[in-house]
Amino acid sequence: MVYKDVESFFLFLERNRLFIKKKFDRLSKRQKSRILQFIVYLNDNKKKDIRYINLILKFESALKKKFISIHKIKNKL
Amino acid sequence: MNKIACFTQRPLQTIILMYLIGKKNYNFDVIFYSPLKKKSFNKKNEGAFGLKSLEYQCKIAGVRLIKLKNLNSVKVIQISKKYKINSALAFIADTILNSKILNCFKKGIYLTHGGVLPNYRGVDANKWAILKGSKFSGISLIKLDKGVDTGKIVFVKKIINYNKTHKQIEKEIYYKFKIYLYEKIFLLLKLNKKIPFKKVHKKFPQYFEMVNELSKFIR
Repeated sequence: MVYKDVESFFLFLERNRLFIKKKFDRLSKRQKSRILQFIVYLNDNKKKDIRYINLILKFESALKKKFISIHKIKNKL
Repeated sequence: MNKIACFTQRPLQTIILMYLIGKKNYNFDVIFYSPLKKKSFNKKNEGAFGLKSLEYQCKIAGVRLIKLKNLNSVKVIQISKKYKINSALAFIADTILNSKILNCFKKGIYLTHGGVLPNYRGVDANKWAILKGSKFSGISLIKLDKGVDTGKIVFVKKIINYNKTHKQIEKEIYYKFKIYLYEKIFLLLKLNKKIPFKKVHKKFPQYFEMVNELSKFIR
């Protein structure tokens, strides 16, 4: 899946704080899978912004899943 | 002469500013106080003593102190209309003022943002600047508008990041610039002088709260 407007979806997730577990759990299955797809897309995307890594890490702690390693972040910085 | 109000969630900083402008025989006409809401801000809270000393200071100086639960209250509009207040300064940490309040003050509401604008908008701006390897951190004074740190920029003060920890940078910014910027804009507004707005042509991205994993990379 290719996201045309990554930035606006990123802002939507951050502003509504959907990485908080309580809020995330309230979402429907479809919405959850859409968000997960987006996170995976961000993770695989080569043009990674440090703000996007920040969002991925937020979702990591909420979902208790590992998407990105610290070494990768270090290399990015 | 313009009448100026103050929105505050930082009583001690307000007292320091009152002291500075008091030296020049000026004072606020009204101060609106509201406590901090977010639990994460508790560490930075100036405590009950801060409010008590602000109350005492206002009593001495003859300034009206209005305590509110929320700064977006209708009371703010009523009082500002009653006393014909047309501008305000804001020491706000966790409240977003709504458009009704913003429109109520004809000459605008001014506040500082801990970061170099327009490059670093949003939360933890100086942390992001350090993480991204920027040469400068700083503080900006802006006129509030609907967006997040998108208002017109009045002053920007920069310091060099080299060989400094994040805490040192924050301290330096606080002691060197923050209250003095408020003093400067207060005098400009009070004396009805022209405010030197800076032109910004490009819109920069907004930053959000930094996770612990990333802030570990910052000294």
